[in-house]
Amino acid sequence: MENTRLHKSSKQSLKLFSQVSIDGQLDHVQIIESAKEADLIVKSLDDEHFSLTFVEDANDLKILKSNLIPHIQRIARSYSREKLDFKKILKKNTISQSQIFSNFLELLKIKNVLRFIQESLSKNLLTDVPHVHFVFHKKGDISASYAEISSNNLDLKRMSVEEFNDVFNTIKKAKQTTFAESFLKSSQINIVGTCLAKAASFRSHNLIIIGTRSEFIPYGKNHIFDFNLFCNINLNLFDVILENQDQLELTSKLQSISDTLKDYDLTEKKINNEFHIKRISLLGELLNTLRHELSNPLFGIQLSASIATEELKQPDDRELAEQILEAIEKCLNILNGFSKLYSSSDQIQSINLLKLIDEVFTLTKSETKMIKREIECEPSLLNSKGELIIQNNPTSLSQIFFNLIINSSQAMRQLPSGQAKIGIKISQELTGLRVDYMDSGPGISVDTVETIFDPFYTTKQEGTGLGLSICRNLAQKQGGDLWCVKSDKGAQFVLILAHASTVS
Amino acid sequence: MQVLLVEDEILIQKSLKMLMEKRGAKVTAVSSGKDAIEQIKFHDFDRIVCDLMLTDISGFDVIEESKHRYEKSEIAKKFIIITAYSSSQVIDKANGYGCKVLNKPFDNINDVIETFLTV
Repeated sequence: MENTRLHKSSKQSLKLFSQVSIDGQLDHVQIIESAKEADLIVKSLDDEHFSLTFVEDANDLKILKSNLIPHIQRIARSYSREKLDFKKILKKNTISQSQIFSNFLELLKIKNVLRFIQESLSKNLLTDVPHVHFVFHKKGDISASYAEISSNNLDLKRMSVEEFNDVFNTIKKAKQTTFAESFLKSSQINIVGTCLAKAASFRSHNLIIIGTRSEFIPYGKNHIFDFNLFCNINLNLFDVILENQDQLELTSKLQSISDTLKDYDLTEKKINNEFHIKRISLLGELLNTLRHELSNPLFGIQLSASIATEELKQPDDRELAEQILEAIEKCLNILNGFSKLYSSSDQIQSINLLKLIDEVFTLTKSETKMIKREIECEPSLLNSKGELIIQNNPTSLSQIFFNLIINSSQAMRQLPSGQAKIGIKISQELTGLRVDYMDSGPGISVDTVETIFDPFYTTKQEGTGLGLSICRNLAQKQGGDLWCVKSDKGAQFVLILAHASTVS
Repeated sequence: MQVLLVEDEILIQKSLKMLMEKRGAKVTAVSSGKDAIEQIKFHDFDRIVCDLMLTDISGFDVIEESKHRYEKSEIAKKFIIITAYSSSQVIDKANGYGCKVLNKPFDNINDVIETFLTV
């Protein structure tokens, strides 16, 4: 890489004026007689040291006498590569212009201001100077932020404001861009060799940018030009970034918080669903056993009671036997209702919705016996037997109604007798069957109509906060939906049931 | 007509026995699989109505034991299985013997008695 660059670029020799005689062969060096035209001047400092002065930026280097020839040779080689290439500069300039624009675009999605600066640096500056020290001080703060940036590393520390001001003023006052390490030696800024530096004053910040290759070899015109160009072009950008740093970081923090919350919400939903499915299938198994164990003896009682009913001649005895039969019927219905409520089957079946609602009221009888029920159904939906047949999953439906009814009855517990009421209105809608559900309880405050569906949101001391969240999931799983309507008269919900034909 | 009724739920057993006897059948009722096997060994029945979940052994074990006395085709005709657990495995196994399976509780008791007594 170095070699190809050396051969491709047009060579230029370093004009050397030396007060001491130079022995040995030097490539790319032209020894001249006058200091006026020299690029580099060699003087004797003391018995052991020479000084090397770069005319262009009045930069001095102190070196050991024994190192003179190799040092001059390194400088000359580097110098010969650095002949100004105006075409290259023009091209870089254009690139930088479009770079600013894309930098601003990226600014909109940054996560961290310094990371962003690191990225924008590594696209430009870090290719020439692998280490950049980016130090900024917010006017009025007691310390400055100091970032040491390379393409794969970002170190952060603080710097005292006095020290910052020292360095800042030195760079600001100096006419040149290149500095020897000695000028910064006293400070916390840890630099090896010479460096390029720029200081800028913004509305609310002061900024120092120092670039270094960690080498003693001086920077050529190309490097200095590129560094200045980069700084001049990007200073406005840095101004904007630093000025708005707080807001930018806040925005990106908010963004990442909301991303995290979204993830959290999804995981939570998944966990809830899994928890729910597990609970339901366990309860389902228990109830299935219970149902089988109970239904066999119940069937025996039913059979023998119906035989007895026919055999008995006395009206009183007959009535008693008939009442036994009714009680058995009730037991069987409850067993069926519960096993529907906790069945793990996802099966879509033909269901009489009115009967299902009735069964749920039976299951919740201990809670709902004082509550007046008004169930209305659009007559066109009923068949000749007065049934409302829909294709849906009976377990999901039972659970949704079970939850709504239990919630209502708990909310209406304090009402004077005769005032507790649950109304259910069933009508046809384009998207499916619409069930308007309402109670006469205290209702749901307008600002919580959405929150009540959030998992773990509960107003009850012993609630899990999962009921409505699960109900909504169940409704949506069947292609329907469940939401709460803003109302000043009790709680109102709308349940949409998609027909089986719309469910895959 | 000679019927063997194997059912451990005593109220179901008594009721079914009564209903079948009302229609003129001669019913022997037992509560365990062991008693059922004993009956099958020493008597000839036109119909065997057998519950699946007995307290000692299963209805299928009763069928296996009766293979000593009846041909496969006879078993398919004689046996009717009544059960409260009708999983698909149960139905598949019953189909293997070629006999009828009726689920408890019965929807219509008269139809069921009719089925029991039609050979």
